Amino acid sequence: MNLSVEIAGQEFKNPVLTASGTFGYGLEFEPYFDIGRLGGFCTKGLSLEPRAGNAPGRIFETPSGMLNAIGLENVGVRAFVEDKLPRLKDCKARIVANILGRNIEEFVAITEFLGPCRQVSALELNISCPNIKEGGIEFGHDPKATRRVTEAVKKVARVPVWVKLSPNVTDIAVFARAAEEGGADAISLINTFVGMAIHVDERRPMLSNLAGGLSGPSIRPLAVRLAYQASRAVGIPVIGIGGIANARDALEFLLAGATAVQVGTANFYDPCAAVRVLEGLEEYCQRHGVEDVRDLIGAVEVRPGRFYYD
Amino acid sequence: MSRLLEAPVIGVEAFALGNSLLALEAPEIAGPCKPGQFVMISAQTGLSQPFPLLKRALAVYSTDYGRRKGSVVSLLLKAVGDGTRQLAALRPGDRAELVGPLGNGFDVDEVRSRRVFLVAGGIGIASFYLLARDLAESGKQVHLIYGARSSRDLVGIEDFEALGLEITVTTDDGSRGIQGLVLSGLEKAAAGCGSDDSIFYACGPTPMMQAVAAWCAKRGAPCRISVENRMACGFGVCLGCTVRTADGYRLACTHGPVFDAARFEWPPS
Repeated sequence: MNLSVEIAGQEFKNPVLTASGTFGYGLEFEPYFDIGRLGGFCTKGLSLEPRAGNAPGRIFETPSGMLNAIGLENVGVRAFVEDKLPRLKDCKARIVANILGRNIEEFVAITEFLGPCRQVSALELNISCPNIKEGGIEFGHDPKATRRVTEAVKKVARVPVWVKLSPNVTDIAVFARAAEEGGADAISLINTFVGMAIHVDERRPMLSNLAGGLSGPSIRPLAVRLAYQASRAVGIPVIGIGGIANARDALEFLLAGATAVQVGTANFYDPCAAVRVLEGLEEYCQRHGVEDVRDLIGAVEVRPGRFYYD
Repeated sequence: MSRLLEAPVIGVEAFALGNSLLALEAPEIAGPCKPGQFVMISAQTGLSQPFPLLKRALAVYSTDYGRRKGSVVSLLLKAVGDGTRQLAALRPGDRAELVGPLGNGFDVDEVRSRRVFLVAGGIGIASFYLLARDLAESGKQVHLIYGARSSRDLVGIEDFEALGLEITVTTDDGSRGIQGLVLSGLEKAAAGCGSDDSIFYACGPTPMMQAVAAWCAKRGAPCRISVENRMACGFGVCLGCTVRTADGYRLACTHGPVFDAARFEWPPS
């Protein structure tokens, strides 16, 4: 049984990765499971300089999900390279560096800084964080800007470039194509939906930032549909993200057209969630006689049929 | 090292005001647990999409329960929302899912020859039992100032009495000890104490900890506080539990939950 998939010419030993912002720098999960079992993981979004993030009052739980407005707190790309990467030198999972800039020059500078790091398999451009005022999301909400930033990073990148898309747009296909036209090697989607919650006794927002990004199982059906649409709009691989908590969830994305998936919020409440998804996927393939997980990619059959009640 | 595991409930005790004690057999967590550490816990096990989704952070009250010594994680909790109500409804034989031990706990080395004052408000007492026990066993002079609404709400006070501590009680209704806030108890108990010979630990509602911290600051006495905050993970990944300090933002989970009150910046009310 083959579980490996290929993204931009790189083999991932299985299609289960973890999502940026939910997996720290990988090291935090070492007490709970061997992270080398994963196909890969995406780092916390890295900026050129360290970022302190937003004021306290950053998260709030919602039905089967949570709002967050962390504000891209991270150690900065230099500390990542000097302090984190050496501790990951024996890591058997591919490391995808999620990067973010306030402008194209910063995206380019981070890419160049990471250039010599052979441990970094790919870059994921974060053009979709809803929680900071300047930069980032501007590139995710204007297809011309999506294309421009992708082109600029591609010019200097030595590894494949993934572009992580925002769901807060009217037509995901437009942005998927813009990234592809800019030379992206893959797209990952989705980042969080912008949401808001209000404390009714205090009559003020639950988050200090007013609004935040909604993640968790509650957004999964929205994400599956967007992954389906995006995968039909482009020829490059799609990596599915959004509320994945078990193997069935991951399989929905694969069948919808994703080549791989990223487990996100589930890592918070079950630090072993990603490896459980992987084990469930293996079990599914055995049970259904799937010899190659690649046969599942985009294999959803749109046809009239009976309804399912489970 | 922290672990994720399922543990059986071995005891439940209900107190007034929705407070209860929940004891779980979890030697892998109880063994390495230090005073002031916490666990993340959910009453739901084996679900990939539980409700509520996130585990709740609770201080480890004790690692003993009845004749079981050092193998138990016991927690004091107040049922305030869905997650804590589910926990309060667990019965012996039920199972819960835990991650822990988490956080740094108290630095007992800095006590040295100082007199120790533990200042607890309500359920905040949960952070202090292991600390009080370790300090009492090593022969330190420990004084507990414990404030609650009424005599019925002094959860766990017998455990502290059994350690042989000096105890000053305050209640809002005067049904036991001094009538008034915990600060009036502190003022009485620690009247002659100076900056070099005493150390203060506070845990409870924010306004109470803030008042204790201000009282200590006036005397130049060291004060440590154990804080709580909303957290999604408890192990430094979600970055949701940020608090403000003079050293910048810090995480209540991996940098705390114990902070130096002199460097802590209180949230605006």
